[in-house]
Amino acid sequence: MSDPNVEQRLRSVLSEVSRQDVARTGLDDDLVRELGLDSLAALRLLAAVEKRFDVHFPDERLEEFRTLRIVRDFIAGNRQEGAS
Amino acid sequence: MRIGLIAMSGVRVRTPELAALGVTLPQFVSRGKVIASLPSLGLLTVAALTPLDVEIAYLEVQEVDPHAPLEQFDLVGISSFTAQIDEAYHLADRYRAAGVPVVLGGLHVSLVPGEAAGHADSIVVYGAEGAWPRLVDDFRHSRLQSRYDGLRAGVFEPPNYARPRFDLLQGRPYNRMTVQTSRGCPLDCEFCAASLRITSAFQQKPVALVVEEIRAAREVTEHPFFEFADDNTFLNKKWGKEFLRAITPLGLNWFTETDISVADDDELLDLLAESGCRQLLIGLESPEAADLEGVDPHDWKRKRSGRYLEAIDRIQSRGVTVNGCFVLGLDNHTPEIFPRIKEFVEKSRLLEVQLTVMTPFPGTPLYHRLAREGRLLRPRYWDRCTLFDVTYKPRGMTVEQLEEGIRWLFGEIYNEREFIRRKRHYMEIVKQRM
Repeated sequence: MSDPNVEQRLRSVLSEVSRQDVARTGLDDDLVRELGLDSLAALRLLAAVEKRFDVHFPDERLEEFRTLRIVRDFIAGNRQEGAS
Repeated sequence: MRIGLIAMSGVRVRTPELAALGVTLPQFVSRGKVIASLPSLGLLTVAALTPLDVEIAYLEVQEVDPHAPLEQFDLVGISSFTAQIDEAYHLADRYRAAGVPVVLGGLHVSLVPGEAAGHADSIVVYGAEGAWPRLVDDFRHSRLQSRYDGLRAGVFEPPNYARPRFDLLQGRPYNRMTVQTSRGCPLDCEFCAASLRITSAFQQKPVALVVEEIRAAREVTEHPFFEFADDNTFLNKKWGKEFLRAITPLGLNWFTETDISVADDDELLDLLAESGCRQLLIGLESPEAADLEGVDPHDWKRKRSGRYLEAIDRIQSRGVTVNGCFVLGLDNHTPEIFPRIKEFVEKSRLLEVQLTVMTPFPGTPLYHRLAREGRLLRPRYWDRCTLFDVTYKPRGMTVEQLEEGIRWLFGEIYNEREFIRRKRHYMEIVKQRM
């Protein structure tokens, strides 16, 4: 089962990067399309997630991380031991 | 009275080999698509200069079905860039054949007015300010003149200024908006075919007006990415700081074009980052001083080039990406330029690169010089003014060497590996700043 805190923190990062209220953003919404993120904003989001959750997205797969669910699941499967 | 304003915009690549290489003009996604999807600020300004009792319909050219009957108007205004001007003429001819008077305007029309006049009942040369209100009044009283010269100065001052009619975009799927903060650029590069050609001096819009326009644009689309449609936004550093302080609370994400001197001012750089500037497009033109001789009348870029690397690093370290623009085929370029640009791009760690071919747009000083020197390949080549097609005889190489070098460099710069490398570099800068 996924950690609800991760999703909450993820939304907080997304809100900070997009400068928008993301409370209604669905887990499967395409973040680029729904929030109008430009490609640099999408990269800033991934960079912020890497820093905050201590994960590393594979460079050749950056385009795949376009929904909260995909990012959340990647965090769940790849967090370093002891990361908060 | 009902006036139809039709925008012709977009970027195209004629050469199939380059299209296949995936030209990403200035930016992150396909820049061509981005430009094509930007509203025509010029026509929104024309709409704003129209008396309120006149109904305005704003159309993008892709909304005009070439095979369907034409939508009827009392008067049609068409604005187009050089590469699409023949399509604009064709549309104008169709409307005129249907008995609808046509007005043509825009940069190309201003630079080649005699040609445009052959396809229009009237043309607007230079800015619409000072011309369009007179034109509409004359049309209303059946005394339309064949040419109206707009203002080349004072365009942002009352009573000439009018806030663009962003409301006409209501209901359209724009996620990018353009706002102009200035017109013209004193650097006056020989090849430039931008707004400096329709101004007599650099025009700067008061900050308060820019903020009002941003607010008006956001009433149409809540969180658009803003592109400031300027030739050189931060020429005046004092104005620039006032502007950045004013827009910081608005929480924008934005892009603009300026020159490398922004890197001289730490305070300005910090304000750029804080205000949500995501990218600065800067015309570097070529990596080394010797290449740049004569590009602008004061050799400003040649004198600056020695500090390009340091300046790019100072800007990008703030999290503001630099889109470094290079013009291929300058008079001092030889075939060695292609690997030298590749080397510079790698060394500078530019986060975005725009490669274009030197293009003698009609009416520019470059066009007149090359015509005098007998170096234009064809007398009329407007559909090839795409920034990717070679239209003249280069001085330091053959046409074939230039075309081959372009293809090679595009392949080296715009490949997947380099794209990924640039993305990762940007992410690392963002992380360092958190």
